[in-house]
Amino acid sequence: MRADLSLTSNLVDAIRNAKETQDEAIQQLSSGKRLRSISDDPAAAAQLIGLHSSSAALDAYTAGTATVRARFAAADSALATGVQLATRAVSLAVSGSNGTVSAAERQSIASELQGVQDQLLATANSQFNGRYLFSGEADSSPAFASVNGAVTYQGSHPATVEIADGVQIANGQAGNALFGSDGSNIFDALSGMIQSLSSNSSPQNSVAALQSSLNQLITNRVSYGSAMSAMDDAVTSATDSKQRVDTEQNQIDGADMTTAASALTQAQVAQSAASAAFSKVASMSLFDYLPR
Amino acid sequence: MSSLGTALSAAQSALSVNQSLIGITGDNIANLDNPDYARRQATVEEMPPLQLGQFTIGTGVKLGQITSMRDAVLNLRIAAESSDIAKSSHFVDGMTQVANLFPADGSSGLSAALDSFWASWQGLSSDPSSSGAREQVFAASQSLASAFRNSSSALAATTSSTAQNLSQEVTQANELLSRIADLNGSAASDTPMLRDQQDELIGSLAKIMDISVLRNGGLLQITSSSGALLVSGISHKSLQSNVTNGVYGISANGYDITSDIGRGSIGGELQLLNQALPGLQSRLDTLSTGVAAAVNGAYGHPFFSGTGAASMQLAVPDSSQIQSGASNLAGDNSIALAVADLRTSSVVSGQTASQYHAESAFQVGEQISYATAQRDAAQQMLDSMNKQRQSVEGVSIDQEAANLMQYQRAYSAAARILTAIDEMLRTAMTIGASTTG
Repeated sequence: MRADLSLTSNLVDAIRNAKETQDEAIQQLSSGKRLRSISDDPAAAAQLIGLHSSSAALDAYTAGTATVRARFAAADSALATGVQLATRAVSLAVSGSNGTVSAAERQSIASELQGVQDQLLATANSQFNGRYLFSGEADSSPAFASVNGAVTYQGSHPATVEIADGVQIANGQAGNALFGSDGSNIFDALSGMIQSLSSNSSPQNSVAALQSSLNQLITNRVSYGSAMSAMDDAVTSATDSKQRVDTEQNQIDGADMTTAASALTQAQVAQSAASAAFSKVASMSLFDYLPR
Repeated sequence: MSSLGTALSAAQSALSVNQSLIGITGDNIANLDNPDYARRQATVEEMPPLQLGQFTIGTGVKLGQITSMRDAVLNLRIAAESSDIAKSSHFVDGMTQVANLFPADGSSGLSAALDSFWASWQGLSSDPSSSGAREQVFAASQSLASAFRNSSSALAATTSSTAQNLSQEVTQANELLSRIADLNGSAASDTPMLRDQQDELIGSLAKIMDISVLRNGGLLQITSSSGALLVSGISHKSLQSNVTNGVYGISANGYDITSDIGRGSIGGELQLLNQALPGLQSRLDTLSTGVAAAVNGAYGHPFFSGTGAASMQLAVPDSSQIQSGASNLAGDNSIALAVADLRTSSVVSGQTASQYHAESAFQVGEQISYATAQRDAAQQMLDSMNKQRQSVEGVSIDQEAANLMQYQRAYSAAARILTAIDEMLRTAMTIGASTTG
């Protein structure tokens, strides 16, 4: 057909275009996303891949930092117990040093101190999720062991963990940094004191050593608090970054719902108009007017 | 008497001419929906008149020539435009299969596998003695290796289906070339029907490859775009597809014409097979090799094995054997940290793995979007040329109806003349009867 064909083919094109617009609008409305394929907007698609990758990395930092922080919280609370125990030991030692204390009283202080030492050793060997908190990287075995009456550090240096892109912190403190090095640790100080008291002599020298161990414990415990606050900052910052990434993703890939909805309506109207015109045109022919 | 006889035969000729014209109208209407049919039209000519003394007496009418209404130049332009469309749309089809490897938002596929891989090492570095974190690394590493293998095999599948299409299209081109040569052999004269058939064959061939057409009367000569003879007279070349070292080519009777074919479906397939798909495969291999080398380096032992995306495998047999640190201390996370840090390192061509992959996605998207735009532009051109062609070649049902009316009237008028002459002859015979009787 000549003139008539181009008329109908124009209408077919119109109907096809309207359908395509409807498909696209429905896709956008149902997925909420603008891009159906990388070819819709290649530069935006490449950006989205980068953003997805940043988003996944931020999630990983947030999750990893939460694990580290839980461990730090457990360690900090163990250290709080350690500080209490050491403080108690110092006050026992001070009362034991008093010249008016009887031999029997010294004996009883010594046995109480023995209990404190045991508890303190248990505290230094605290576990979290089956791992020794103060053993450094060697966290599958206890931090301290008592060998022939001497308590020695069995662990290693602590690992380094990354809590944000490029931000690395020590994974806690080594047990010997907290409780003192072999030969001069808090357990040695307590042992010396218990020995003096048991032999009914004043543990004058040991008190100073114990006090210094307590100070070392208190000083080093502070690093846990500051690390936890650094981790909180890192998580907050990761959350903010994630928010920005989400916003950016949405700006690039978010469908404009209002536009999509009105495009859908328009296309539907166009399609029904074209269909109506089609049925009119298709029935038009001069043959209808020829005499029968 | 003689003049009545002349009038009689003149009216008869008018009847037969109008019958033929109505026949042509019938043909036109019957081929209303035949896209290859060009509207036919006949010319009528006066029969040589009789000279009777000083009078010239007409002897009627005869059919002149039946011609197809066609615009040969326009048809060649349409064929060329169809070549462009076929090329772009075949290219787009192939690349669209490949585009599935790159989900638009990066939420699945290889890029997501990479993201999860780095994240799992980050997780292990925060909790190096956790068996759960180790299992995650194991699973993410297996997923990454399989994402590389799957991407590679998807590319291979597209390559092989494209190669299959190529050989089918070559077969089809050969068939068309042979039919064109056959028509050259059987063409007694340049008839409208021959032209219709030739136009159809040229149109189909142009969709497969770009060709040049030279017409000499009823004979067609077909050459490749640079002039290699494909059909000359009744002989035609036989096309063949071949692949040498992974490069696909087309030859005509052994003579390489690959560089002549830039359009048509074969043109699109050659572009896919020789450029787009191998380019993408090589980028995929570069990425997998870069990632594997960097990870193996940081890990200290082979972590990934294989020599490219297709053969990438996790070399660690089970999750418990994944090492988080270089020492045998349970809490050593030095390796995990080093691998996790590769996320932001330049491991491939000065880019991070994610940047390199995003660039591949950009290239694929850009190639599809460019070819789609070309296809759509060519389609618009073709649509408008087709409308133009329809206005020349197409049958208008209204015009045929008007013609039919005209021929019918002319036929009735001629029949009326016949009746009048018949009556006159009868009258004349009655006069003769009464005179002799």
